[in-house]
This record gives sequence, C-alpha cells and structure tokens, in this order.
Amino acid sequence: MTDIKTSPPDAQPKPVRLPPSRGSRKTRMAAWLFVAPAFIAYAAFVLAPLCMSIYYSLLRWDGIGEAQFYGLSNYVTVLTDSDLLQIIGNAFQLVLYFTLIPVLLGLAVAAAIRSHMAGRFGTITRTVLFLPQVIPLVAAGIAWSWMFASTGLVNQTLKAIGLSSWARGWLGDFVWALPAVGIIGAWVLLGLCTMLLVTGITKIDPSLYEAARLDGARPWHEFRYITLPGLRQEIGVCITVTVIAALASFDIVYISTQGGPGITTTVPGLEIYRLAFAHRQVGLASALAIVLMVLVLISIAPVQWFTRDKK
Amino acid sequence: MSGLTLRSVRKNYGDVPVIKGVDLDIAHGEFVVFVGPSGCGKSTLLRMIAGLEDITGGEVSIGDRVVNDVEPRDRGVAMVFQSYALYPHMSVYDNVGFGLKLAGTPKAVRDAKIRDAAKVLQMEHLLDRRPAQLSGGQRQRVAIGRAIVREPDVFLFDEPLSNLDAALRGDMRMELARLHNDLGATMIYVTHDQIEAMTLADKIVVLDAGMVQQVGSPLELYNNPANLFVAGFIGSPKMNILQAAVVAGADGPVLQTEMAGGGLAWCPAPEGLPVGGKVSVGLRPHALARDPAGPVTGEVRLVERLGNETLVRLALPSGQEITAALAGQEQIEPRQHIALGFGQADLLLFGEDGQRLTA
Amino acid sequence: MKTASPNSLIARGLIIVLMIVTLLPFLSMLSAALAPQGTYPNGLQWPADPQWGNFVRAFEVARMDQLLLSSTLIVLGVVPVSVLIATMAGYGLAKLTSNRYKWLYLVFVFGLTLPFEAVITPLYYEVRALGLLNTRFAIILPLIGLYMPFSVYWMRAHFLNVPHDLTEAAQLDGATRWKEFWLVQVPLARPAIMSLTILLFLWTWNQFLLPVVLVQDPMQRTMAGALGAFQGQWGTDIPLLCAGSLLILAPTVALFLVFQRQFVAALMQGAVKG
Ligand SMILES: Nc1ncnc2c1ncn2[C@@H]1O[C@H](COP(=O)(O)OP(=O)(O)OP(=O)(O)O)[C@@H](O)[C@H]1O
Ligand SMILES: [Mg+2]
Repeated sequence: MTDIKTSPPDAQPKPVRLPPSRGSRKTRMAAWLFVAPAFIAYAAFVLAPLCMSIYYSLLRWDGIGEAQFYGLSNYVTVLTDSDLLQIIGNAFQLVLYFTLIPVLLGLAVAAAIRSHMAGRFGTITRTVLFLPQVIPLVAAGIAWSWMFASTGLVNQTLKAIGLSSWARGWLGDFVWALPAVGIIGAWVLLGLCTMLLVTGITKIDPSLYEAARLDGARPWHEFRYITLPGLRQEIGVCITVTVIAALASFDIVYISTQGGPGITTTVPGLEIYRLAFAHRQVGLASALAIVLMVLVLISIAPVQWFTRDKK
Repeated sequence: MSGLTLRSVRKNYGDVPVIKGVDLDIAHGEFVVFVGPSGCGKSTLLRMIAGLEDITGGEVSIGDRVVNDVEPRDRGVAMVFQSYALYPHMSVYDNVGFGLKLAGTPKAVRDAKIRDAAKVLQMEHLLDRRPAQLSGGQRQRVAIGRAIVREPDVFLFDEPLSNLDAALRGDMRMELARLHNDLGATMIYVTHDQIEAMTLADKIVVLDAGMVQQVGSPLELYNNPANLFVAGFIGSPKMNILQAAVVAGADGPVLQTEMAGGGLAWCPAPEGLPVGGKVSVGLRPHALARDPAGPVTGEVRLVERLGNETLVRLALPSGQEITAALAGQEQIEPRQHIALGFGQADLLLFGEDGQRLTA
Repeated sequence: MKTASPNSLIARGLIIVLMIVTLLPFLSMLSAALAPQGTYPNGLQWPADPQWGNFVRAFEVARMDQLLLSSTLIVLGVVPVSVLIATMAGYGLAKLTSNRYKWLYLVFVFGLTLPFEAVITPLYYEVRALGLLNTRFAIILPLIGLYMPFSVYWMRAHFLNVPHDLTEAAQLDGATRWKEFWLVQVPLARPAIMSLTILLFLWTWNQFLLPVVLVQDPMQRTMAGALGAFQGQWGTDIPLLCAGSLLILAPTVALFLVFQRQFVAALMQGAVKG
C-alpha cells in the first residue's frame, strides 16, 4: 500500500524499448551510403566470383577455348568419381585430427586448470601457445616437413626410445601421410583452442562446483554436468574454427606433401587449384569449389545450432 | 519569437499509431511539461519536435517555420537525454564545446561560452575530466551545459532527472527552474514525476495513448480536470473515484452513492442529469477532514503518519477503499471507525464517458 | 589459486608439455638452420660449429629486403582500406537493424564461412581481365573484398553496443553523419578497430593461396607466398630452407612478442566472433 503516499500513477514497469530502428528516412539513406563501399568490394570480389563459379561449374571449359554448356555433369562427376570422393573423404579425415585433438586436449587442460592463468606463467603460456597462430601456415608446413623428414626429430625420438622400426619418411608414406598432415593442423590449432577453453572455464561460476561437490558429485560428474555445458559456446567456437580449417585446408598440404603420395593427402582446396590451373578443367574445378562451400556450410550449421540457440 | 506549434501531428510505427493527432501551441519562453503514463508517446512527441523521428502526418513549426523536413541540427533545438549521452572520449570541456566547434565558432568565443556555461552550472572545476569520472548529478550538469552553449530557441528534456537520487533531483529541479528564469528560453520537459511537473511547469500537457487529454497550468489541472484520466493522474495521493446514481429526491434529482452503505443521498445533482443516470464522483484525499457528523464513514485499514499530515485508508461499508489525507497528526488506529466530511465544492462529477460535468 | 593443489600441478604439467610440443618444431628448425651447408642435419642436435652465416645467405638468396618491402606494400594496400570501409559499413548496418534490412547483413554474414578456394578460379579470370595479373593489386583488391564479411560483422557487433543516444546527441549538436562518424564513432571504436587491424595484418601477411595463384613473381608476393617459392627452389638444402623460413616468420613473431596482449585478445575475439 505504499502507493498511497506519492502514487505515481504509472509506476508499472516500463514497456520494453524496441531496438533502435528509430530514425528517419535520411538516417537510412546515410546508412546505405556508409555500407556502399564495403558492399561494392564484397560484391566485386566475392559475390561476383561466386556467381561465376556457379556458372563455370555448368560448363565444360579449358579456360582458353570455347566453353560448352555441360549441365550438371560436373557435379555428377564430383559426386561419383572415386578419386574426387576420396579427396573429399580426406578432408573429412583431416577434420578428425584438426578438431578432435585440439578440442580434447584443450578440454583436458581447461578441466584440470579451472582457473585464470595469471602472472608471468600465464603470459608465457599465452605467448607460446599462440605462436602457431601468428606464423604463416606455410611456415608450419615447412617446420613439420622437417620434423617428419627421415632424419627429422620425430624419427630421432623414436630411435632414441628404441622404436627404430617405426621410423619412416612419414609424409611419403601411403598410410601415415594423412595423419601426419592432420598432426600439423592440430599443432597449429591446439594453442588457440586451449586458450579459448581455459578462458571459457574461468567464466563458469565456481560456486557451481562447490554446490555439486556438496551434492556428492565425483570429478567425472563435475566435468560432465558443469564443465561441458558451461563450455558449450567455446566448444562450438573451437569446432567451427577447426572444421573450417580442415575442410578448406590448402597451405599445409601444398607445402608438406603436394597431395601425395598418390592422392592420399590431396584435399579439395588443392584439387581445385590443380584442376583449374594445371589440368585446365575449369568447370570441374568450379563444381568442386561449390561442393566444398556447401560442405563447409552444412558441417558448420549444426554446430552453430547446437551451441548458440539453447542458452 | 520562437514559440512552437503542433498541428494534428501524428506518428505511426508501421501500422501502429503512437501519436494520434496532437495540437499544441507553446508560447515563447514557456516551460511546458509532458506527463502521462509509460508508453503514451511523450518521448516520441519530444523526439518528433527534435527531428529525431519522422513525422507521419501534421505539421511542427518552430517560430514561424515549418520544420517537418528540417534536419535536427538546423531546428535550433537542444536536447538533454535521460542517459545524458555524453561523448565518453571527450573531456567535459570538449563535450560542452562540441556543437560550437562543429558550427565553426572561433576558438576564443567558444572558450568564453564554455566557461560561461560552466560558471552558470557551477562545474568549472570539472572541465578537464572525462564523463566516466563524474557523478550522476555532474553528468547531468554537463548535459545541460552542452545544451546551453548552443543557445537554442527550444530546450528539450526527456526525463533528465530520473537517474538521480531523490535529494539530487530536488536540487536539480530548482536549478532548472532558475535556469529557465535566467535564460528565458522555451523549454519542453518530459517527466514521470508529478512534483517536477507541478513545480516546474507553466503549462502541463497530459497525454494518454497518443492523445492530449488536457492542457493547462498545474493548478487548472488540479482544480478542474477535464476528465477522469486527468483527475486520476494529477494530484497525489490519487483522487478517490466513487460511482453514483442519480435518483429522484424531494427537491429534484439527487446523487446517491454507496458510500454510506444504506444509500444516502447527499447532494443535489447538477441540472440536466436525468434520473436513473450514472456518474462518477471524484473526491481528493485532501478534501476530506474529520467530522463526526460527516457522511463518509468506514473502518480504518491503514494509517501512514507523515508528520505534517496523516494518510488514512478507509474501507466504506460497500467494501470500496478510499484515501483521506488529514492535516496534522491525527490519533487514529487501524480497525477504528471514523467519520469524515467534505465541502460540496470539492466534489467533481464525471459523466459516463469520463468527461467532466460542470454544474 | 595461490596454493598449488595436485590438480593444478597436473594442469601445469600438461601445459608445459603443450608448450614444449609447440616450441619443438621451431627449435628443430633452428638447429637445422645452423648446420653446415649441404649437410643432412639431424632432427634436434646443436651443431658443433653453428653456422650463423646461413641466415645471411638465406637473407640474400631469398632477397628478404625486397620481400619485406613487397609484403609491407600489400599490407598497406589492404589493411587501411579494409578497416575503413568495414568500419563505415559496420556503422551503417548497425543503423539498419529493422527486419527490412536484415537481408543485407545476412548477405555479408554468408561470406563468413566461404573458403577462398571456392572463388579462386573466377578471381583468376577476373583479375586477368582487369589486367592486374602478376601485380600486387592482384592480391590487394580481392583480399579487401574477401575480408569484408568478417570485418563488417566485427565492426557491426561493436557499433550495436554504442548507445543510440550518442548519435542523436551528435545530430542535435549539429554534426553531419560524416562528422559524427569521424568525431564520435571512430574514436569510440578504437579498440575494435585496433583488433581488426591486427587480424587483417596477420591474415594478409600470411596469405598464401592468392599469391600462389595470381602472382608468379615471388618479389610481388606476400611473405608466405614467397616462402612457397623459396621452398620450391631450395627445398633440398635443409639448412638454407630452415634459415629462410625462420627469417620469413620472424617479422610477425617479433611484432607478436611486442604486442602480445593485443594479439592474443584479437585472435581470441576473432575466433569467437568469426
Ligand atoms: N521503434 C519503435 N517501434 C515501434 N514502436 C515503438 C518504437 N518506439 C516506441 N514505440 C512505441 O511507441 C509508444 C510510445 O513510446 P514512447 O517512448 O514515446 O513512450 P513514453 O511516453 O516516452 O514512455 P516512457 O514514459 O516509458 O518513456 C510505446 O507504446 C512504444 O512501445
Ligand atoms: Mg520516454
């Protein structure tokens, strides 16, 4: 009954203010002008080429002579040719390495550390773990080509621990070349994922863990019911970044294996480059490019959906 | 001369009408306050005057110039926002001087004006600070200073004091009144706070659902509300509203309320009211006084002692509760039965359509 | 977390292992780079007689001075323009939030996951048609366009958080849109612009696909692109290759070490938003 005293007649909660679409026609005109330069650049060098890609993908064209309309045949080739299917499969195999290793290791570190990395140790950790993000992927490729070389550090270590029989030229090995390439990608992405997850875990309210412990939760339960859900967004980010890096990889493969031996490490990005500029099959290259784009989109969409929507 | 005229001004958001035809004349130098419940369109109307919002229909003139299509910066208005909207990256000095700088005012002139405004608002010692380093009241001063230096024809305020605590609000209110006196500019002020409205305004505009309910001086609105909405909105505590029926009495029709339970007829109805009609009777809490023979009797439910007056919540035999503001410090306890009286002249009658009935 | 619980000891151990794994390839490269010319060095073995001269030779062979110049020119061509027009567009899109304009934003966002490979073939023909093949503009112009989705998205996210009142206050203060943008919005956006600049710098400097496809002459390429050519040419001379690689990645690493905090922040936010 407090409103007897100075009843402001409208002490009800205020209506929710709608987002500021407020503003006049002139505002919108000006806004368009501000967007225009970026849009032109985007249209000229992304949208237009993308449309051309779609158009080329319907052609049979060597890039020089007359182009022939070829319908969807290029797409049929991409989706039936065993080599191309293997190449696409390679990309998805890379996802296993590029995504799983960094995310699992990152989660392990985050769950173990579960606090902010402050002080000098934190700074050093951040600096070191981010180094692979700063250098060109090409340099990572060269560094690891050397690591995996027959006289490289990997073999050296194996010999030192008495596993000389395992030593081999990793990147030239039909079985081991693809995993080796996967390791390179994992190495590049490991630090970023770890740091994202460690930062994410510091945002989880520590009292949740205390409450869980009072409820009799085991460490595994804590991880399963508090850490994992709390990190959903960060995990989503890591998966998104790493999956794109794997499916659209080019630099590392180009440098370390050139796609070999055979086509065991060829990925779509590299094959597009080869088809278009070495084999002069522009139409097929473009169809593969469009398929790659679609694959990335449909791989990412569920991740985004799972991690963003349910807050 | 820079009065302000609104002619059947309308505003739609998409298909939703928000301002539904407002006519208003504001004379030069007037202090006009817009009040009304939340969401009634006060801010929208103010922003249309400022030029921040498109005008769907009608005309807004400042001075004798129609400004519908004039950019905000060319309208000669300045606005103080509820959030203050100070530029976080500029010092107070630069915040206040920003408009002048844009207008290309020479540095010396600019400096003099900024310092004048700072002196008026007693914030000379703050000029070098950033907004983040100021208290709420100080930010408010800076926001007002920014408006002052532009020497606008019309000042617009959108709930400028609502982020301040009560004491500061009182101080700033007086300062605004002083400022209005000193500058003599036209000011339009949106508020939720009745006290601000009553104390500052030359003229109050009561809005509801995008329509003007009544325009008038504070006392006019208090004494002669044009309809039930205004009657209920202006004045605190809120006016008591009772339902009454017009019944035949010995000397012509009389009004009968449920007030006394049994149905006591206690006043002659104004002429022209047919017997059997219904009216609403408004009675201000302050019009009631203790009177053992008074017609209003009931059981006390709640007592609030404010020192200078005593607020009593009274349950009538009909069950309806009314509020009485009794002068002084009355010895009344809950559950006590008391009787209250009032003067005939204090009754306000409203017809079934909510409009005021004048005798 | 002052007291080191067993848990945090395990964590520290894990992190230290991760750091070692991260650093080993660099150390291995360094040891190889110091091996005598023409030898086949071992994985990680400090040479008896470190040949620091290898770096000098690599510098000359790779023509590092010219590479630095070329990369710098490309960065200067790409980054300021991209940041400027993306900032403008971010501001504009933040003002066009109603459903009627949502499509415009979605068109930009669509490009976020687009692999560069998806457009590289037509870009080649487009750049050739423009007569820019084998010039630095062949890298600069497409990169500006390719960076727009992320940059615009990034800047828009910033501007959505700037109170709308500030815009209106500036308007009433007499600012035109243009002046408001420069005098009010850009100064407030400085942290976001800073991060974006760092990211675009890194991505440009390290860009590989475009130079490989669009520019033949290594001296017109980015550092990363040139490194590809360098490897092709000297791939069998391990000490020289390693010395050259280290030289080529030195500039970004040096910048990173100096601006460690800003880089880390930018990279993390960049990932979260991207
Ligand atoms: N951008 C918008 N789009 C659609 N409707 C809007 C928009 N802005 C305001 N409205 C509606 O217009 C009406 C008037 O809003 P306005 O802000 O003028 O109210 P107000 O009287 O200032 O309220 P308060 O006292 O809470 O500030 C409200 O019902 C509001 O929901
Ligand atoms: Mg309002």
